Amino acid sequence: MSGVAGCLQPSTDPIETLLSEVDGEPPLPIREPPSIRYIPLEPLEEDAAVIGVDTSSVKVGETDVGVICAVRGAVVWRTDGKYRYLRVGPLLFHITDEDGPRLLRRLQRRYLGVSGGAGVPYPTLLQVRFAGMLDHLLQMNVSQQTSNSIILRDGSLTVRSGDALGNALPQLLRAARDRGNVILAFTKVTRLRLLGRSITSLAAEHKPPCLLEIQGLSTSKQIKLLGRVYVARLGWEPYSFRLDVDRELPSEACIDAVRRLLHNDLIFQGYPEVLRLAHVLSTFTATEVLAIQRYVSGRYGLKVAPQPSIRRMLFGPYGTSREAS
Amino acid sequence: MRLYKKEGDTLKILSFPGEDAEKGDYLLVEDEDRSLIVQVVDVQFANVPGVLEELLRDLASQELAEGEDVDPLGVSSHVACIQDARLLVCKIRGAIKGGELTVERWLPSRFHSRVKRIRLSQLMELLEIPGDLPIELGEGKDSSNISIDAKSLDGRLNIITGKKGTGKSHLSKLLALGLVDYGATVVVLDLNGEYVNLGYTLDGRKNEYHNRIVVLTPASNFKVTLAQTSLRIIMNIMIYSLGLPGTSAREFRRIWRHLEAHGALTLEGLGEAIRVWKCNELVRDALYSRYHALANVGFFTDSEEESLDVGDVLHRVEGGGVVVVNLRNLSPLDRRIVVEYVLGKLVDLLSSWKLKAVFLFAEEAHLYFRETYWDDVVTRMRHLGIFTTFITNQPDSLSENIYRQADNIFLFNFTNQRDLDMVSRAARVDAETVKLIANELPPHYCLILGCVVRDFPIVAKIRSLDVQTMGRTRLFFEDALTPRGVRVRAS
Repeated sequence: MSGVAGCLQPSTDPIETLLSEVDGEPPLPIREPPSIRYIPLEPLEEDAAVIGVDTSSVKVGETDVGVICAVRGAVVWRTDGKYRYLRVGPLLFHITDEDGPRLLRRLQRRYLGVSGGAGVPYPTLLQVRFAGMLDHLLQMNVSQQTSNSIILRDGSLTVRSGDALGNALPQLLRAARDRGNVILAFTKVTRLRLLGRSITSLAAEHKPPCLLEIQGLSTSKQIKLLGRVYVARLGWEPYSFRLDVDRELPSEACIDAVRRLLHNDLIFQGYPEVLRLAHVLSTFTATEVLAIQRYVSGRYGLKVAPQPSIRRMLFGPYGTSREAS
Repeated sequence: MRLYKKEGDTLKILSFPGEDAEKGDYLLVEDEDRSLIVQVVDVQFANVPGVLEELLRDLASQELAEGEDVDPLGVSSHVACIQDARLLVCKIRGAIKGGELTVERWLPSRFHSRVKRIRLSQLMELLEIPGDLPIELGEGKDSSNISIDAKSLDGRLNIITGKKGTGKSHLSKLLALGLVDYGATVVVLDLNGEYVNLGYTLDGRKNEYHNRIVVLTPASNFKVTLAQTSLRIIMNIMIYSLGLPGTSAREFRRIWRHLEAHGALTLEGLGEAIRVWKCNELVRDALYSRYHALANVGFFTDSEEESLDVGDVLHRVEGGGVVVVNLRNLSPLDRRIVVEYVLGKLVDLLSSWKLKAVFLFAEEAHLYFRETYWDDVVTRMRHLGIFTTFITNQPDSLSENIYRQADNIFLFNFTNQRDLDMVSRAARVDAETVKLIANELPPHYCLILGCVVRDFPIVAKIRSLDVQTMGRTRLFFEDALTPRGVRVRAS
């Protein structure tokens, strides 16, 4: 392993790791030699509403037949220098091994008007898909009810074929385009690599604010690319993000949207403030999880009981730190 | 509510805002067939993990953004509940096993024990309070009637203390009249003339106690002859009240015995005897100055008709009554002389079994008690049958010994930590209870400690009394003109 640079981080909860895998961007090969275009940015002094949408989900507990999860979404917008928000949720779902995928498909058909697979390896991880559905619904509402706005979402514009949410994404982009809105999709941690390095590290050498347009990305039958892919370094801090912008828009319109974002929102640590706030407002805290558990136990008569860990019982203090804690 | 932690005799219990438990309330921690009786002494926020970060996050996002929540399930109210979750700090007061009160202690199960509120009326029933001779004091925060047993004041040393205007004098009157109801003899050393109208209702009519209240105003309707005064009493007055030195005191004793032997114990006779007595001129001067002090009080008289026998007065209130010694308008020196006489007379009467026992109520006793009385009160006088109740708003005016020996303490609000430190020296309760509960007592609420409540501290709102208390301070603006010239009267 000599010559390897990086950092070491303790392994996290395996469930969390699985969730991030499910929630993350699909793998996308980059053709070599790739084409990278450096685009310096200046704020475009044109007033526009900047709207950020984010959702989160959390497992509240387990029942004999599945899991109970909660999802919540937040829409944050900035107009006249002020931030406002609309927070929806928490919405609770009892996802059983048997009925969970069926429930999701039914809701997707009804609310997104599309069908497709759940796209998760385990039914217990369906909570991510329920949160994704809420995310999509909120974005669709924002796209249809505003005009000439910049809509920020968390995630990429790459879709797997057969995935219901992926199938619904073109409709969302179209709805936004029809009203002059532009959807900018920010990915905090990307798996896109070039010559073995994460694409976001490419922006480190360039003067911010700037975009690096990555061209030459391969698509396949399974993976569709609905957006132009950029690396965005919007602040002086050494943070850059993958940014996807609707492929159907002309390149200049995509760049202008980012310039309008620079003019109309705060950029803190290279990340738009509305999207940061949307994330903060949608994320569940420990107290909120306790409160939801209290609601569930009061409303449905479920008892909150500690779940015995078979590993901890077997290995005691000789297990891993997670088992022994 | 759920048991969280036990440290010594302190239990910590988690509760949600809806499960209202306040300082002073009692809880029952039921664990199988036995229960711990605990009292809430403090209510704190529970240390919910991550709540600090959450509050900071809320604060930051509230400053940055405003908006609305669509919360169809109403979970936000549960969030508020969790964030406001309370930690009840409780003291173990006792236990119930097999339906009986016990002093046993154990560690109850956190998961299986049940915590519930116990009404004060239930607790009082369990403690068999008030017993045979109830004195109704008022009600608890849960509206339970709070009464104590008059017997638990019998032979006891009591303290009523609290800052000004909290209701101390009111309670002392209530206790005094409660004792009178059961035939007790009560003597009140009334510093400010607050007890003189105990025999009248608020609207000025004579009340049921009217004939059982005797008000003695020194130098007015309360005068005594020297012949009624024993040598022991007069010597105490001369030495302790008037500061007569030892040599002069010896001469005075000789003069007194001489006059007694010749049946000439009068003020005039005493003055003449001092004038002609063969003694050192300095001694004569010392005796003369004390004689004039005695004569100037106006309390001593040579007229048999004017004089009053304390024994007769106490005999008049036999079967229940209050003798109020009105010390108002007396100079500090005169007060000391009168109190010395009254206490000396009571000791004489009790020593000769002419009096069975007496309940003495002493308001701000440090203003007229001599140094040696403090120890006397808790030892000799108590054994003779003088059961004292001290009423004061200056806790440090009573010696530490009084607190340590006190059987009952009726504690009203104090905010000053030094005052609370003083009271917390009482042996019958832990300092934490005194400090945490007393500083938040509203006016007229009293923390009752000691034998009267079988060492289960109880917070009671003292009931009102239909007697003229005269304990109110005279106010300048009570009946004043408003800026527009309208005459207003304070209610």
